[in-house]
Amino acid sequence: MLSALALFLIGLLAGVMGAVMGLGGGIFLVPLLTLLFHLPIRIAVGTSLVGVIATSAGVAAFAPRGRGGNVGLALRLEMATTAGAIGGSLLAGEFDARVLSILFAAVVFFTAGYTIHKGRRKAVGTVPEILFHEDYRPRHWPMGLGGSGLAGMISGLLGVGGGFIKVPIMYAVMEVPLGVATATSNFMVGITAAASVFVYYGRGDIYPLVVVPTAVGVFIGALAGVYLLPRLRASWLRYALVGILIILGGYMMIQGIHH
Amino acid sequence: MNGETTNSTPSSAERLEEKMQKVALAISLAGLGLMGMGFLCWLLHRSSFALPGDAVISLRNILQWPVLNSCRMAMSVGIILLGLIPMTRVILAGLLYVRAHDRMSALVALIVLLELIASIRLSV
Repeated sequence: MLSALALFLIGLLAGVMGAVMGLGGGIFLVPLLTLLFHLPIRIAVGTSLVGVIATSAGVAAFAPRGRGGNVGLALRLEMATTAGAIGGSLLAGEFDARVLSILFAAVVFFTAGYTIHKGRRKAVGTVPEILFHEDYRPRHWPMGLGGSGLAGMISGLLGVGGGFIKVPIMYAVMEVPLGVATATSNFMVGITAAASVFVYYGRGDIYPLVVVPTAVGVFIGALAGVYLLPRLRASWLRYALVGILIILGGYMMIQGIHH
Repeated sequence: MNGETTNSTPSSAERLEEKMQKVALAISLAGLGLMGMGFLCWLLHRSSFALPGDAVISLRNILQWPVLNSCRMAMSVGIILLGLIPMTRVILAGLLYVRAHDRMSALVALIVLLELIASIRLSV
C-alpha cells in the first residue's frame, strides 16, 4: 500500500514539473520508477507514456483559453511524429535494457542542457518577447517534419514527450512564436504518446498496479502545475530541475553500464 | 506543405479549443474514474500489493469480453480510454475542418488518425 502512495507522489511531482516546465513528466518518471522501484525500463517507459497522455489531457482541459496552440501545425507535424513514435516503440522491444538506459541518460543530459540554454536566453533578452501572436507563417517544413519524426522516435523508444526537441524546432527552425510552439507541443505529445502506448499495451509492458496510482498522480499534478504556472518564478525551479536531471541522468548511465 | 496551418477564422479555432477541452475532460474523468474504481476493487479483494503485479488484459480479450467483470479489466479499460483521448481530439479537429471545407487540413487529420488506428491494430 505504501508503494501505491509512493507511486502517486512520484506521479504528482512529475505532473507538476511537467506542466510548469513544459517538459512532460516522462523525463522524471522513467528514472524514478527504475531507480526507486527497480522496475524494468520497458514497464517504466509504458507507465511514463500513460503519464504523458494524462499530463497532456490535464493541461488541455484546464489551460487558459487562447493558449491552445496551433492545431493545424500540430497535426501536420504529427504525420511524421506519430510514424516515428510507432517505429520507436517497436524498436524498444528489440533493444537491450542497458542500451535503453544509456540512451535515456543521454536524452536527460540533453534536456538539462536545453533547460539551461532556455533560461540563459530569457535572462539575456532585453525586449520582452511576444509569446502568442497570429502574425507568423511556419517555414522550413522539411526540417520541421524531420525533427518531429526524430522526436517521435525518441518518445516511443524512451517514454518521454519529446517537447524538448519539438519546441526548439518549431521556434528556432520554423519561426513559430515561442508560446504557440510550447502550447502546440503540448497538444502533440499526447498524440505521440498515444501512438506508442498501444504498442506497449499490446506487448504486455503496461502494468495497471504501477500505472494507475502514477497516472492519477500525474493528472492531479498537471492540474496543480497549470494553477501554479502563472504564480511561480521559474528561475529557481529551472536550476532545481537541472540539478535533478543531472543526478537522474547519472544514475541511469551507471545503471546502463553496470547492469 | 504550403505553410497554411489553421489560420481559419478565430471563432472556429475557439470553438475547436472549447470542444477539445470538454472532450479531454470528460474522457479523462471517465478513464481515471474506471482506473480508480478498478484499483480500489483490487485493494479490497487482494491481501497483498506486490509490484509490478499483472500486466493489462489484452485488447483482444477485452473485445471478446464486453462486461467489466474484474478489477484488472476496469483498470485496463480505463488505461485504454485515457489512450484514446488524443485520438478523439484528432477526430474532432478533422470534423471541424470538414465543416469548414478545409480539405487539406481534413486530409492531414485523417492521415494522423489512420496512423493512430494502425498503432492500435499493432496492439491487438
